[in-house]
Amino acid sequence: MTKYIVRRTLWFLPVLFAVTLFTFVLMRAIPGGPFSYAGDKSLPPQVVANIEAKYHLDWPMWKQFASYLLGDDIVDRAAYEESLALKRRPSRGLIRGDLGPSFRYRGQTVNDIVATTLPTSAQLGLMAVALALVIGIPAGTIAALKQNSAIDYMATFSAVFFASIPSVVLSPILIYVFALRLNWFPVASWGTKPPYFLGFLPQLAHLNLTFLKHAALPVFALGTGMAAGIARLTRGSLLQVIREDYIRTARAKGLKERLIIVRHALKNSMIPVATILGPLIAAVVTGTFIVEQIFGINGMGKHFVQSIGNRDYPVIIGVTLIYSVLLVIGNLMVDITYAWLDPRIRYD
Amino acid sequence: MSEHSNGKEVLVRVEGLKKYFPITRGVVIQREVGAVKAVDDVSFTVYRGETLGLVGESGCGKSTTGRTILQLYRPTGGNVFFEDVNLATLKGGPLRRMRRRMQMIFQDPYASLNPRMTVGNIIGEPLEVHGVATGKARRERVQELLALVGLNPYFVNRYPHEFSGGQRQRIGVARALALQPDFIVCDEPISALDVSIQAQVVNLLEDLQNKFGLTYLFIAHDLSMVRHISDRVAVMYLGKIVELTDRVELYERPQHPYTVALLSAVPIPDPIADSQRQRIILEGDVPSPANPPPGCNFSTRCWKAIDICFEQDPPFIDIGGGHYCACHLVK
Amino acid sequence: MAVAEATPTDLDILARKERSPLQESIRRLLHHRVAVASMCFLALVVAVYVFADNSLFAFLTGKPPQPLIAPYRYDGANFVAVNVPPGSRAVSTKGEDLFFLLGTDYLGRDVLSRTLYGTRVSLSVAIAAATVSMLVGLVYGTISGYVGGRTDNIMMRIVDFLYGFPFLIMVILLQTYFKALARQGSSSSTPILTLLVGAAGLAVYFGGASGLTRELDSRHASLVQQLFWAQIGLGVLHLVLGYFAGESLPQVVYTSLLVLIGLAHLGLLALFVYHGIVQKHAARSSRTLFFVGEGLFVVALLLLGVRINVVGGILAVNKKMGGMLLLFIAIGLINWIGMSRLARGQVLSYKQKEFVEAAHSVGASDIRIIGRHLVPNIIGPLIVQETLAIPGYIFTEAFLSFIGLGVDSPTPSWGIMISECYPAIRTYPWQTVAPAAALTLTTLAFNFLGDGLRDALDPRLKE
Repeated sequence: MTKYIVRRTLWFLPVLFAVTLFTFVLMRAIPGGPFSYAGDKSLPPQVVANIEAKYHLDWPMWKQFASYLLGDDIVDRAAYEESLALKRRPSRGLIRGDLGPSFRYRGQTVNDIVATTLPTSAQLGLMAVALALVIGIPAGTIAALKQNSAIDYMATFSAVFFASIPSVVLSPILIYVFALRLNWFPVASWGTKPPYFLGFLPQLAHLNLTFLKHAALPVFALGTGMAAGIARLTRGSLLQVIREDYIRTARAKGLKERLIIVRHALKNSMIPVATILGPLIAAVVTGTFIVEQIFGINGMGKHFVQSIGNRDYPVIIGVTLIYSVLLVIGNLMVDITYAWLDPRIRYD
Repeated sequence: MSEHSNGKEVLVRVEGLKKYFPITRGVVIQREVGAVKAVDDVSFTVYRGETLGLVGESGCGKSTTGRTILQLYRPTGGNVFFEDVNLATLKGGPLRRMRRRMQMIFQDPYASLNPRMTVGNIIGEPLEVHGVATGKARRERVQELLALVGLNPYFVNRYPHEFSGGQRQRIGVARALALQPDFIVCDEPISALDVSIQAQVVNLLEDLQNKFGLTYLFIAHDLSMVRHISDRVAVMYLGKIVELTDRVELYERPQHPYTVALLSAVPIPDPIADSQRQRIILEGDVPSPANPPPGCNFSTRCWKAIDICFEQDPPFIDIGGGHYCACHLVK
Repeated sequence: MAVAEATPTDLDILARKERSPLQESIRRLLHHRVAVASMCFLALVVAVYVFADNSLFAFLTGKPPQPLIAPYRYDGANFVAVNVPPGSRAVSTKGEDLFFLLGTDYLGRDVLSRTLYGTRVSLSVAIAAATVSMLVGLVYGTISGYVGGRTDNIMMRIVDFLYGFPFLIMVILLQTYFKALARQGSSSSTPILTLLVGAAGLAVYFGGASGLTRELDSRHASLVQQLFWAQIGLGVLHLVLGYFAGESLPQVVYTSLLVLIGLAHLGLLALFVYHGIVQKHAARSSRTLFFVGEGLFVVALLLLGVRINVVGGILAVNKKMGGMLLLFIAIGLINWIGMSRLARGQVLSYKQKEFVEAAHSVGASDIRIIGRHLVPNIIGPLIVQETLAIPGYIFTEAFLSFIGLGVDSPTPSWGIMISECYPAIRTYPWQTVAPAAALTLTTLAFNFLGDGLRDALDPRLKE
């Protein structure tokens, strides 16, 4: 099993490399650099050339990429010394965890931006996933156990219904109804501030009603779609499992119904559910783009969308990489969960 | 045309046939770490017009033998001569043309008919593929075939799911007959059927054999049914044929210990005789075909085994009168 | 395994109505009330999609398209009636009476009309993405599963690799790139590259053809030579036409000539392949060279002859479609992966069935086995999966439009409408409600239809 995890992790390295290369080349290939076009007030050509020289945008593509990946000191020692002499920040390279400077926010690095925005997004995302699991699995289980009853029909229908409402639609509606009309929740912003516990969890002192009030609507907007998906899947797979012979055997030997469901049926029915954890994480990531935008939460998703508009390429590349790592870790977790749930799968 | 010494005409001659399924490791660079020896050096002949029974436990490679003869699996080694043509070296168009002369009847009548095709299209497919008959002629030929296997000719537009297992197997027989082949491999054609239906299908096969002079390779694990239908019987164990002889000879005077054990397990419809005879219970399991024992394949379970059995593979030889046996103790 | 069942008599069978499995499925689907309702709703959406305006017939009259179902054009701004609530009336500057059933937006555009026009984007994306992913996934998965062995292994490794890719983010980046390209306009084409491709193709083609002439018997060899020279001749004609007649001939004549020559090319090749001259008798290497070279050669000829810049052409078409083409490409490209996995799994399970072996044993060709035996059996689950994936495509479009990477304004898409109007939701809620409702209802209908289809095609799941 350890060997398997190590091998899978190694397998992700080429994926991450491909993502970096693809993103880098694509962003650099966009006609007109990030500084040649600046809205209404275009900069004079000389200034543009100076800035481009500062960020080494005048280098050939392969050299830029090598410098991004490995750092200036390895790629071009002379340029590295020169940067230091001019009190500029040379690239230390992705391998040493440097995501480069932001083009738009002078003086800020991509690392700074990620450090301030990622915790907020992580809190939002984790709470949404938790909500999805807490609603989805019980709802699906109850629907399956009471198949073809009124509860089942209601659960099934609302699952399809919520799966059909994209967060683009749900978020404005939630704001309109619960924040603007009923005034139950605040319209915008997030309730915690750094420093965070373990780097991303809110401090206990911040976990008060205000925090929950701020979090309620965005978490709901992000989580319901997922909850609906999980409920549908749980119901379907549990229905299949409880028809299996070993469940009948368990019943025949007089086990309590609750024990049968919890001990025998539920774990096996979770196998297909585990497989959607990967897409789920992807959904959380893209969901945050919209939810953070609409609810005005200063998270990484909002920043990503803004940096696209700003053509802040280092931020785009850096954040893309962070997301890729998250998704890759998510996929690995799916595989491990899968192995834990289904011992028949052998990893050799 | 090859003539055998006893004057019967040889239709199919199998020489040293081998079918190994490779076991591979690795992803992009695959390396073979071993092979499942499903059929391992098998030789026999099938005479025109006869029924050769092929019996053995499940997993002994009898179905694979049938499929490899028909080139549904390409052999790993050895030759299959159909009349004088070596099928093992044929490819593409020439092989496709040879397929007209040899057909197969499958075990599972539920899996062997495409659920999305009408009975007419299923039976007519061989005609279409080989351009024998199209349009109205094809339809008429299909109806003729349906009548031949005892089905209502009006069934042409029906789908397989409307029929019972026995009826489906008749459809499979009609498909096999469509191209008027010489040789048909029957791969356990009755073992998936109700006992009451089995006799009907076997009788149909016998009638058709008499009518068209068909040659059958009849694969089965039911010894009494094989005794009923076959002229000669071959017994297979772990990828090899251990004994091959005339039906009467085999059932009356089995030579190979495996055959003896197998026949002792056949129930006799007489309780007194049944209780009195000596039954040989084999111990242990069949070894894995990926890792057969050295020497005789049966040595691990043979109660008569002597030292040589564990070291040398016994040759498959004629012990007199066309009775072939592969055992060191039988000379 | 004995199967115990009563044998139906001939009369029993003949008394039943003749029903194919397909007909059975349709019958079951029609008994599914929610699915039928969804189909009716989607039929309505399609009607709106087609008849929102008369652009389908407008090219006959040559006039600009006029709205049919929609009351007004999607981009008709009315400055006399900005942000008016539903049910308002107004008089335009030209003195026309205006009625806005669902109100207007911040430019005074009719929300109802824009919502109705919005079906065009959403449904187009749904259809295009579904078609692309279905076709690519089916072909890829079927080949992978059917051929098996090492080919399968490599093909599936590629899929695994792509599966780990954060695709939606890649789409966002691609769209960023495409949008920037479209803003900038494309740079000048590089005929040098085309010439290089053409020359390389010609060289490879020549190598393949000469290899073939050595390997084939004299009759077939002369056929190969004839084909080769015929194609060279066509190529020269192509170039001459492209370079000397391009400007002097009317566009229509010029284009149709080029198309004719292209068809002649393909026709020759098809004839060649049809008669199986190359496949049967030649070594694999020269065969491959021959076909690859031929392909490159023809592509280069086409590019040179038509003298279009591919990127520029795509961008131009994209602009005409309001930015939808690139969206199709981007969304279609990411969704074939799941489809190909499903197709492969299905093929693998059916490939082992005895009816496929039976087809082999009667001598059916691989194409026939795939087309007649495999695809009809595996297509059901694929269709269900595709229907259930359509809401995802529509979401993706809305999402991309929302963050400004979808269609170009003023083309109305539900995503764009919401993104433009949600900041003002407190004062003008109707501007957001109409597109939001349309989006939700449409995805709801696709979800219900997908569920119904699944029950109909695989009745075992329901019980």
